[in-house]
Amino acid sequence: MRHNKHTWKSCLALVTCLAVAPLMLSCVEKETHHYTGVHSFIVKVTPPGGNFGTANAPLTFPTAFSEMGQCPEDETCYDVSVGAYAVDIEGNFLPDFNETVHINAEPGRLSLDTVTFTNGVVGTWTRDASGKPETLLSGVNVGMRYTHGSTRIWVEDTDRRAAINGICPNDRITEDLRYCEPTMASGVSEEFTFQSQTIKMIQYNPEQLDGDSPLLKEYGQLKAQKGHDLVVTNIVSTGFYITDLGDPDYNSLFIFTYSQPARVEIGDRVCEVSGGVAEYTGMTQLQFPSWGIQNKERSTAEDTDPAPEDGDQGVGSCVDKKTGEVRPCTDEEIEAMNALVDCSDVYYDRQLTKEEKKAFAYIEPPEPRVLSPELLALKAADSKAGATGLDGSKLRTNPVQTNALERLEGSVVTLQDIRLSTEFINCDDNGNSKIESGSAEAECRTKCQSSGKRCTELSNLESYDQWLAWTLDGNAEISVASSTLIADFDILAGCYSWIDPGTNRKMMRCPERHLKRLTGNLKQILPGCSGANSASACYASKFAPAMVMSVIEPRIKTDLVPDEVYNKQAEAAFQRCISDTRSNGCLETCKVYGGICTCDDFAKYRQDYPPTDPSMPLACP
Amino acid sequence: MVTTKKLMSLWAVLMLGSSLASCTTEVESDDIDFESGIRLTVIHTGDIHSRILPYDMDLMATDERLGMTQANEPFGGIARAATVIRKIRSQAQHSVHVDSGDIFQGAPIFNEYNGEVEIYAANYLGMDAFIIGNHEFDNGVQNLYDKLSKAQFTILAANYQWKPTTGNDYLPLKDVARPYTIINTNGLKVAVIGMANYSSMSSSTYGDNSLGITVLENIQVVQSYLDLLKNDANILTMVTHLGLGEDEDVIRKTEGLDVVFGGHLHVVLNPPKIIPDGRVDENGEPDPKMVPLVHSGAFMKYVGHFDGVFYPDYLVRPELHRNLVDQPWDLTLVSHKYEPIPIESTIKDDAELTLLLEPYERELARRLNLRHIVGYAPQTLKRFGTGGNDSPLGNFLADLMIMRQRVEADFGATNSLGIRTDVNQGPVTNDQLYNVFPFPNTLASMFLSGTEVWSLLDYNTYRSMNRGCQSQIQVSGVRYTLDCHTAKRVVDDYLNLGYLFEYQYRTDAFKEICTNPKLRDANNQPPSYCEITWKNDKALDPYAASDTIYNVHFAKDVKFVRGKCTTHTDCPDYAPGCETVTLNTDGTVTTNYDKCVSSCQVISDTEIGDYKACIDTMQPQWFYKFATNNYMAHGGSGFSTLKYNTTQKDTGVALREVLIDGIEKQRTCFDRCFDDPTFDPSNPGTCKRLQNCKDDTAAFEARWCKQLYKYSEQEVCLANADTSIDGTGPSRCAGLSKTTDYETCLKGAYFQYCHNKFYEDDIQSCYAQGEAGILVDAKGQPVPGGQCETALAGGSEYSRCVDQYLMQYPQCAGYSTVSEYDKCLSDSAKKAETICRDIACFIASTDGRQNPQRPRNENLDDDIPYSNGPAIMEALQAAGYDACY
Repeated sequence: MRHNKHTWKSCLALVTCLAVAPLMLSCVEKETHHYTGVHSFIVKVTPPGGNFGTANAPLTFPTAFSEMGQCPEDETCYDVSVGAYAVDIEGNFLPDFNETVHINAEPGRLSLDTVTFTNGVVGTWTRDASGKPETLLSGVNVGMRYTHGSTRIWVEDTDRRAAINGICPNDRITEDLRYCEPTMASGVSEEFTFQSQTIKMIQYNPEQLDGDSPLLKEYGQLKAQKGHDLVVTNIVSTGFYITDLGDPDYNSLFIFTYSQPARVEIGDRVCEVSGGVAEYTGMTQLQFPSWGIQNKERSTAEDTDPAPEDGDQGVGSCVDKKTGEVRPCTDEEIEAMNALVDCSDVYYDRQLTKEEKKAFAYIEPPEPRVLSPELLALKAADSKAGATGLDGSKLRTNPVQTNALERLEGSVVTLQDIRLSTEFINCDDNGNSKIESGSAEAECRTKCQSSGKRCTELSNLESYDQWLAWTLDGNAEISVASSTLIADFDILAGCYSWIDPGTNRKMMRCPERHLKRLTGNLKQILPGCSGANSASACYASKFAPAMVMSVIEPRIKTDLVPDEVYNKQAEAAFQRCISDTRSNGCLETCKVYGGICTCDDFAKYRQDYPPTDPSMPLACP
Repeated sequence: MVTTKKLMSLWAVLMLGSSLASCTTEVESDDIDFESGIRLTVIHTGDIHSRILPYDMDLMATDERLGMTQANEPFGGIARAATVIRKIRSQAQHSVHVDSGDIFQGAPIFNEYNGEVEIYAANYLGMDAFIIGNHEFDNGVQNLYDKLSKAQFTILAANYQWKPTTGNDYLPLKDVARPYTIINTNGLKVAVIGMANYSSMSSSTYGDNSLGITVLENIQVVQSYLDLLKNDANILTMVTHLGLGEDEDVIRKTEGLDVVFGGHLHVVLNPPKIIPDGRVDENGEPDPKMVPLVHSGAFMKYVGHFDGVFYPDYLVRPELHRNLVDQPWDLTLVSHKYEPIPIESTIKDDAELTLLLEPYERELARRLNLRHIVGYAPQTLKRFGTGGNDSPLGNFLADLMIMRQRVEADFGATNSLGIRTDVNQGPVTNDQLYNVFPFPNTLASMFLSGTEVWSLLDYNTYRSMNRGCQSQIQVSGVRYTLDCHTAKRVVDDYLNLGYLFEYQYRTDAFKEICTNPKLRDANNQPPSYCEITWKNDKALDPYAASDTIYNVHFAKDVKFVRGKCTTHTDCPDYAPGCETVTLNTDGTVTTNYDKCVSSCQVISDTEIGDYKACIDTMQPQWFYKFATNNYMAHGGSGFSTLKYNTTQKDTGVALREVLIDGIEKQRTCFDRCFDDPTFDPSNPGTCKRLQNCKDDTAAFEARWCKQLYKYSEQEVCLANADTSIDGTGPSRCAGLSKTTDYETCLKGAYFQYCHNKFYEDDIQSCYAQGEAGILVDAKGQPVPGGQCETALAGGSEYSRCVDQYLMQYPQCAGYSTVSEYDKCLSDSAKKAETICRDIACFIASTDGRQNPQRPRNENLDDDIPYSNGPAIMEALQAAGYDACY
């Protein structure tokens, strides 16, 4: 063994010679030691039946830790026995190592946080002639949970310890000379192969139904698997939705691409999609994604998109079809090439014919799930309790933790018999596209969106393209997003607008309008929680939002089916009211406050929106 | 005054000292038992953009989700990052620090010192390898060479082929940049291949150029170095300034990388992406290794901390080594962890680095008058509008550009990304405006025909199309609709014909698309976006080449805004009778002014409300005076229409100056109080705006006090006592110096004397006793050797000496014992009172001058493949993700 040992003492002497006190620190810092202490841990695990899982026969995704060796009903558990021993940089066994160190799984969680080495080992081992551990006889029992794909157990020494008499092994003392730096010695186990991820593993939190994804902040990797066909169900301006046809619930996920994704269509088969699992305003999504899809047209086109040319220009050059010029591929071309992949080998062990390929590339999207009024009525109870929004305004929403809709997050759902907002008001007085908390703006929005009114705040509509709608019984509230962009449905069409002379706010009144059916992907969001990195952080925040807002994102024009007959009649009545100045006693008022046709209506309106100018009338003259 | 020369010599002495002091002994690779596994820690920084000093910013939701808290402002700061980096590296047995480039440009310190401080600070951090980013060239190649030649880390750019050196045509950078480096960290050899930027340097993309650089193809370069290095290093990494898409592409198409650290797009990937590499097995089937791709953000907001555990490849993938001799040194990553550590005010400054930066910081504040308060912003002024609409800050600046004396243009435009950050609510300082406009861009003017104006706005719409229809320019004097929906349809249709729009951006592209039979419908009509500009009558002109001439526009309803008006006749170009009048069925009349060259119309402004102005329709043959910045005038961001305009004039006035002048000319906060009818001049407290100004300004001044006197050891200690990384309490601060005149006086006289006489001896003997474990405190309890300094603070010869002179030196008696910091604090409220009486209230508004129509899927059932291909990151840039690359 060669040792080039440098001690604190010799280092100090050098510094003292230089008499430059601040450099003491840089000396410790810059020195590259040859450590005599622990450098690595050899980690061995004994899984049940010695089975680490294989790509073809992976281990089942464990959803719980066993209790007293028993796995809770309807859950899957996985317990292993872990042993370890400490070695130095040259691989020599260190029987003097007696410390408690961390243990964890990558990815996933373990039932233990720490293990303790005694005489250099964790567990009981057979020894060779020199006393070095050889085979693990029995180790510490550890439960694994939320482990998926390729998983390994880490053992690592990452905590500082108190320095005893100012001495640390290998002189690894902290700047204040009080602690010893951790050795950062590490070791990982053999590889386990668990089931590959499915959407349900990402979406379903068995501990708390609308809590965070159990895989939050892990890298989500979904791949084509037999029995788990993945299909694109919607493309919106910030990403796309996919659904796993193999699971009835918790089967859909939003893929956030910021802007409208390139070359993705409803019905495309998803071969692979990956990205960081994140909770954005309480909605689970993959961010910074990469994806590969099949498309019935492009996957079978004779002449696929610009193909890389061999030759002098090398890989990554493309031929411009117009000019014939060979030039570097553009980002667009590279993206298109990367995005189109073939995963038929997962299902077939032969080449597919063109017709088969076409059939394989397209998956009929699932039928929308019907949201029954009962399911939605959960909101009603909470609405009466008057949950408070982030800015102090009242919002009607689903109560957290009893949220029956969570299992449908991201799925295509349909609702029947909806009535739309008839009133709009712009509460954003300072025009900064934000409703300031605790201000007159928030008060205005509260009034607009409080129980019993059918009102949408206008800046909300402009910023998020969202408006409110209700079931006909008035109990359940739902937000509708992107209707203008996706379905060319203009919620403000045919409405009468005016600037209220009392408050100087823009008001709008619209005819009664009903939808026979409303279809789209369901978003479950915690309004205003964009900054929190998890749902639990959001619940724990000072705003304590006790509600989830349900938003439906339509996919195509036909997702909004207006009740033409009803709407026509309502429209006519509305026009009559606006134009007929003889209908009631407050003629002038009716002109100014379009759509308010009776004195009762006017008095109520003034009560809700009192004028800042005291000279304005509060009731009909 | 501190000169640069002096500063440099200070660095030189300290850096020399540091290197002398390192007690280096290297471990040989042969000593390591790789089969036991080995942990490598990588510190990753990048896109520092001269943010050496901490700065204020309104956090984005993304930052909060990564663990930052607004209350912990100011953020960043290289001295804090140094604390974190030194701690991690002092713990790790094997560590490297790599930086993804763009260390230059983005803060006034770069404008003043051209990158010198950035390089010295990086030297101090002990950075191992650094990639050349696009902004490194901002002050020229010679400057880059001068600065990089002072670097004590390796400069990398494997994909730059340098022009051969001939005679005077000497390119100095060739001497400092290398394609790769192998870092030996305690016996573990880590190869780093460096890939410099090309995408943002259009001049370097093709052939010969003034930089003398030919950019090589990514995949070939990386693979060739991987092949070269695989037997010389244990671990193969790549550090890049390419961009996320490019990084991913390189991983997918090469074989052998273990982990990749990228930059350029200012994003944090948490968790890192995991990308399959390009390995195929002997049957040609993909058999990839999974490679983590790490991006750690920008502006020193985070320090990326990556840990990987490596084992010999023959143990991990035995099937690849069946017939080979075991090569234990050939390592493969088997598992990894990553954490971006937020750099906030809760982290202690590294004392040594703070001292090194101090003279620069003070000198900078003095030279640029950075603390000068230009105005007060009652609310934050966003550089991006919501949903792509016009933004308050953009409108304000563009308005000032066209109104500037001797420019007085009809309309103006400046590129949105030239405005680098929002103006936060509170006092607006020169410092903040440097952050808004770090570039020395100037105001330029030229004349454009109506047709050219339209083409400019068309092009802008096209550029904005893939960026969420977020306009890439900020305008004044013009109102229009960005029809991104049409733009996307056209580009998609063009692509489906097999052409790439971006290479063909010219009018005949539209002609082609509107006449192409493949795009005709059943009635032989072209797509609906094709506008007929001319119809030939074959009866009159049988030789006309075609019946119809088409054009396509992405910018719609282009109008110019002239002066205010009350009636149409106030508008000089209004021609009575130009309106179209329609009689409605109910007897009412609707009047339409679309056909009028000019008419008096209402504009709704969020600040001043509704007012009337003359609105002119754009006339293709008229000339309009256009104000812009010299970057766009030179064809920057692809505005090539402007590049060859011969009427260009550069005023030489910096946009920053235009903005400062404009703010100062706004009405004062006090004056604006009178806008509120409830304001009582005898009680200034009734003016909310004025009161806010005073509160915010006092808070700003108070914070500055902290900044100014942070070099007083005691105050630094106290400020950090509760939150310091070691968790030690305020008691530690007792013996440290305070900035009072009295103490300065004493210090000058005797502090040094005591120090020289006793300190070294005392501490030596303390340590000697500590090692032997025999030092006891006043109560007879053993004192660990680690606490020598605390022990010495009371009871030693040294401390007795100091105490004696502090008490007894009579010459100092008359000096003030109130600390500078306390004085500064008590003055801050008074200062705020004076400042707010005189300064301008900086208010800006939006008036719907840019109206974006985002792309929408209107016919998802009709099999039109969507192919806008937005690189995600471009879009994120538009979303306000620290937009400067």
